[in-house]
Amino acid sequence: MNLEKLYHGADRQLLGGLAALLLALTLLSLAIGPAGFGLPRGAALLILGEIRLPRTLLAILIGGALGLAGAVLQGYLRNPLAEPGLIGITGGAGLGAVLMIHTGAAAALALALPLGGMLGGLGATLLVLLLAGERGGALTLILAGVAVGSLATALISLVLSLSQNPFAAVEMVFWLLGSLADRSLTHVWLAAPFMIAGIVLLLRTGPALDALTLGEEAASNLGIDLTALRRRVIAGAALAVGAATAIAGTIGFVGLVVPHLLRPLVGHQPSRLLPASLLGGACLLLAADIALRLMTPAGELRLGVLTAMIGTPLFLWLVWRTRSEFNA
Amino acid sequence: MNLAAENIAVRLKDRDILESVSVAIEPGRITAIVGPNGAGKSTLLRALAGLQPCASGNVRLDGRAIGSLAASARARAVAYLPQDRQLNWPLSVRAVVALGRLPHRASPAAGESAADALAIDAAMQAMDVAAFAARPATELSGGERARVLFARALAQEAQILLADEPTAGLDPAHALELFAILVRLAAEGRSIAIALHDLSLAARFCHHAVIVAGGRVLASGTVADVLTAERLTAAFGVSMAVGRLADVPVVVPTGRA
Repeated sequence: MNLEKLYHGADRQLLGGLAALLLALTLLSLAIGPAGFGLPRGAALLILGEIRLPRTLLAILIGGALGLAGAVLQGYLRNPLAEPGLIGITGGAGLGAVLMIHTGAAAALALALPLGGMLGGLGATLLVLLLAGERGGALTLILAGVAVGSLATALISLVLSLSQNPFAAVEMVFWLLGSLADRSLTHVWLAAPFMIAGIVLLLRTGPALDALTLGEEAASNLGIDLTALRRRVIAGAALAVGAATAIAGTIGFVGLVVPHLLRPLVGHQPSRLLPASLLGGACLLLAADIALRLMTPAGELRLGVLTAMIGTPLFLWLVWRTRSEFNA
Repeated sequence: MNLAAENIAVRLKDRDILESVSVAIEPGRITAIVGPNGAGKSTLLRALAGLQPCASGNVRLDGRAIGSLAASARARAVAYLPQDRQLNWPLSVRAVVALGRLPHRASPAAGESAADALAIDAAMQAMDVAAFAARPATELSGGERARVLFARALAQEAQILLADEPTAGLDPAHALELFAILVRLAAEGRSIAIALHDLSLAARFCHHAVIVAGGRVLASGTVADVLTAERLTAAFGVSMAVGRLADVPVVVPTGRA
């Protein structure tokens, strides 16, 4: 009986399948849009390069970052309900962006919005680190994250209610709902280095997360440096999720649902879940964005709303299934 | 390999948990650490495993301070089985046992080597869990789960094995089997220390014993010298009888001292 070979074979199939799906979705995403196929060659290339390419690249990067960050946080906190928003970074990035709209900086300079989002995410991360400390356990990180997230939400509400200009208020709300529309390649260049750095950091946590399955003491005995792991998890999630939120606004449920769906397919092993969640998150967000463009070409529906509309029923089903497992 | 605590003191939250404790864990023998609840047995094991910083004194592995070793080198030398048997995800039994091989990996990305596979199979065989290698470890009974986690520590192939209450929750047959394995491992030259509440098992299978009470060592030495009625009565605050039944040693609490 060679179970290890069997697992690796199954993983290769799963990852290969997800990669093929991602490739197909990428081609589809580049091919569809409100502009038909009858355009002159120059205009078609312009639309492809300036509109569809950045949108596709961002959906892949952001979806992947959210899926991976969700898988890492669930593994680190040993809680299947953890998601990137739980540790306050999403809220901080949202606050930063909303402030940019409120102050008018976003109107003066388009890149002020993502830059403000990143600064907000950084601020939230530092606050979480300050509160939770470098050594504390999983619970202190959750508590600190929830506290910082609540503070960010409160401040966002404050900014919204103080907003004199109704158009600015609507812009803030729409931005918070999450979207990939009207993003340019500049957005890609701005956010990609941070997201890729975060993804690399997060992908390297696999063996430590596996060891944590046995608890913190046993993981320490297996030679895992828990302080270094904590730093890597927080820094990686901050880079990946902070940059993703700064570009696209709040996109929920990808980080929660993707690891959940894929976990049974990788034998519930945290390390094997990481590459699968990276690809799975990219597939899910890209598919959602394609569906969005097909359903409402004029762009009334927001991506974050759609992921929540898909994610919530999925999540309800997962809760249902988990409940029946517990009752069995 | 020798593992020794030299005059260590451990303070947690301004409380003295251990004071001037010296213990030597030597190859070829099983050392039982016994004492009442809250005596500091688990803290002593954690300190010996290098996971608990000492306020004073030193834990030395073959003469070197254990804190000076790289984490992975320490993990290859000392396997430690905590008392709480956490299993946070329904990993397969084999995947749990394979975690013991993490310190042996050449790099974090390296897969399982042939040596890893051999060690995992041997550990599963030794703990009699190979039959359910593919089953989720969380679905097993408490005793089976304890054996799976013990197999993880065996797969680590460390010369020093520290275990906190390894027989808790095991039925008599599997408790005896576990001790048979420990005796064999000790005979092969490993250094073993276990915290135990079952004093009869300690008297029967262990070579040395340390009585810890109130954070101090009351007695240490061979089992015959240490596990006596007087000393155990003094340590546990309840009168103890030590004798033989069906030709094996038994220790029985007989009533309040």
